[in-house]
Amino acid sequence: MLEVEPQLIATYVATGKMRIVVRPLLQTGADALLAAHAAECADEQNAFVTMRSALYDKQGTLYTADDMVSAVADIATSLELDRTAFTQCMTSERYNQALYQGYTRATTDGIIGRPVFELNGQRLVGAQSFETFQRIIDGLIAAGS
Amino acid sequence: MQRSLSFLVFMSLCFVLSACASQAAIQVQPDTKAPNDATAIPSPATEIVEEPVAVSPVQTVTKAPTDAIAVPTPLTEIVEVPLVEPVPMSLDADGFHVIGNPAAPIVMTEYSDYF
Repeated sequence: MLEVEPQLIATYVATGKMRIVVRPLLQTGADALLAAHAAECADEQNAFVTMRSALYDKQGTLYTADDMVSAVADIATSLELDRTAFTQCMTSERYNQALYQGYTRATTDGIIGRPVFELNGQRLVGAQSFETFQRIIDGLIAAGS
Repeated sequence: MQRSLSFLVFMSLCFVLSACASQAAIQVQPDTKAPNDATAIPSPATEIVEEPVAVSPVQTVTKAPTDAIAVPTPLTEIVEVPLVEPVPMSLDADGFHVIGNPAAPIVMTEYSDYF
């Protein structure tokens, strides 16, 4: 999704043709929870999408980081967010419960792998190329969705 | 008359010899000016001709392009973040984040973590 999401946003979301609903998965454990929490904390500073892009971009570094909270705080700083407020948000863990509930609900909905996408109810399992999304989305647009 | 003429020739010869001897003395006179004196005018007799320094054309050719393309080494890593279009953000009825116009006709639901 790292390369594809910005293309989808630029092509279909920014033009008002499509919206993306983000539902959390925590299948990789504590690090996934911290990363999802970092996106929520960035949202408090109106940087949810920007933080998502940064997390995808730096996922290799994050995965091997000794101190995950410090690593995401470094990313927040590089995005010119308020590091103090961001770190306070991270240590509060105030979004953990909502993230766990989202994960439980995704499991209930039959999501057992990652990533999974649904386009107007049509489910795609696994990473997809932009061309694959484009073919389906353009088909939906042509069908008058 | 002949004696006068001989005397005149003799004197002329002495004058010429004297002049030659004087010129020779000037040429061998050591340069007493300090070498680093900016006002020193080198004597023609002691002028040092610098030999041309041999320059390797290979060295010149190989060094010049290297110097020309030299760039400063970055001191810190540059964090590149993919740019995304500014889009509206909201939450749906279930509290999930919605990227884009909530009334857009196509809905893509994404289930993913960040690893």
